[in-house]
Amino acid sequence: MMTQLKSQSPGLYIVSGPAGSGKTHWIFQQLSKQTGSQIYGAPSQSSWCLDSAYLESQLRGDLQNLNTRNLAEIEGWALKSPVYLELGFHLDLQVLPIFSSCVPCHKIAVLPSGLAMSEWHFWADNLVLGVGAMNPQMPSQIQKSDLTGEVFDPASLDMVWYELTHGAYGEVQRAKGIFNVVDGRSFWFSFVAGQDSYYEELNRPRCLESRPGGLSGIEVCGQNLDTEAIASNLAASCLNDQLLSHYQAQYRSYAANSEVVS
Amino acid sequence: MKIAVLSCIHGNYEALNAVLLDLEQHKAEKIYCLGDLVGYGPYPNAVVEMIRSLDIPTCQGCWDEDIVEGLNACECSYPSLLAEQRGKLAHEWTHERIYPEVRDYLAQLPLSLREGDLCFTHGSPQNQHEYLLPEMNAFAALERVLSTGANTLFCGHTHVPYVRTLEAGSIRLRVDYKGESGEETVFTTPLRRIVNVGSVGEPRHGRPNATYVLYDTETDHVQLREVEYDYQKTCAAIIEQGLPPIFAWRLARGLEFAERADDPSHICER
Ligand SMILES: [Zn+2]
Ligand SMILES: [Zn+2]
Repeated sequence: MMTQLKSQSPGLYIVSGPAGSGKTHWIFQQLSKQTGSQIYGAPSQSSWCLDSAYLESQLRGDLQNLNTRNLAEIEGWALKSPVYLELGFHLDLQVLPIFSSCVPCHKIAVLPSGLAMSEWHFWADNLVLGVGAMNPQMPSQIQKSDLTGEVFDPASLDMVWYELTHGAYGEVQRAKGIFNVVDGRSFWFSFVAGQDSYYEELNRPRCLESRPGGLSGIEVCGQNLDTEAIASNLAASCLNDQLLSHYQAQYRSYAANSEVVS
Repeated sequence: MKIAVLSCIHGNYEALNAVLLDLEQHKAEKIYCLGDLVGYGPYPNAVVEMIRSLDIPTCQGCWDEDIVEGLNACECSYPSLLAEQRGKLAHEWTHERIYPEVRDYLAQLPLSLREGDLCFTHGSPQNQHEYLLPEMNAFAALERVLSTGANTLFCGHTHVPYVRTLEAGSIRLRVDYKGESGEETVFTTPLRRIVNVGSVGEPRHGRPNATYVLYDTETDHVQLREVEYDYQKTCAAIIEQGLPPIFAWRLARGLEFAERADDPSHICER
């Protein structure tokens, strides 16, 4: 079943797999090897997508982000370059249009080790070994909150993320987020049940004046989630306008001083 | 004489009862309490009434002071915006429920107590809100003990128990004036000790168990006690009484959060 995948050649690469198995990470690896245009879409997701925002920040080239509107143009793109389409963990094939047979199409499942047989095995023609262990239960709840423009106190964010990923607000199987912190930086947070959280700074310009415009938000999948408590604790961890301008002024003066020294 | 020293009960009546039973079994003859009778926990009045009924000599803790003076009396002791918001919530909740006579009792508590060469205080002898952390520089720590004239200083407030011995040592002091080297003065100090007794009702050592200290004045032996109790009862009461459920979650894990940030860049509203 496993075929050798030449992910540099033109065509459609449809990627699926369970929550947190490393789909976006695998796509990131493929796109960063690439010399031509980098084309990515996550058609199963709503108006905003943390994964595309992550790829946009972390890939050096210009990511061509496909949204639902230009799904019809995909075939045209795919005849010239590789096009990566990431599906959610629910393998929702309904969101995809029917593609004509002249476009080479690869179905890739990114699966954690030890997953014996699953719907992905039947669907995929390429299997990629992802990370973590398979959670037997499918998440029954997904909470998504857009936090664009919000700026966090890092100590509070650390506390609420710890609580979230240790079961204080229900059983979390997967959580990811992009958060702006007060020193002007933005971070990618990622958690899969049974593993340590992963943190990465995003390549975004440092924002030390007013509120950052880049996409920020959180997505939590799990069971019995106390969505209200998650939202209110996140809100309590963010700076109001007055505090934000006070601390930003401090950081601007640090930055100015260190420039003089160096 | 065997004495028991407790601190930071924080309205946790179940934990207090378990500790009282444990110290009785260990034949403690006298009890001292280092304050923070109220705050976070669901039974502030009952805890104070118990301490009063047993006539336990008690110092005023940071929470006791804040309940009497209002939050403005306190210097910033929250490590994050979130901890501050939760602290304020706990403060308001306690403030609304506390009986006037309980408040009067908390108001008249002393900052520190002395018994022979022992001194008892909540945070530091100077301030209920000061944290004597185990990693505090040795000179500053020694200075805090010396200021009391005692050899052993019992404190609480950090919610993490420890014993720190400040070795008998000498401090050399030389004042140079305008390039000329001055005279050197040498102070010698005998052995001093700081004993942090941890917390009965809001531990921060990663387990829900209550901690306190037994001290034998004859043998000078310090015994740190960790006492299991039915913390689920307190957790249930926290939720029943309308305190935020996250307080129960953290209590069950020994994760009390209101520890002062040492990082001067931490963010707070004050
Ligand atoms: Zn305390
Ligand atoms: Zn205290």
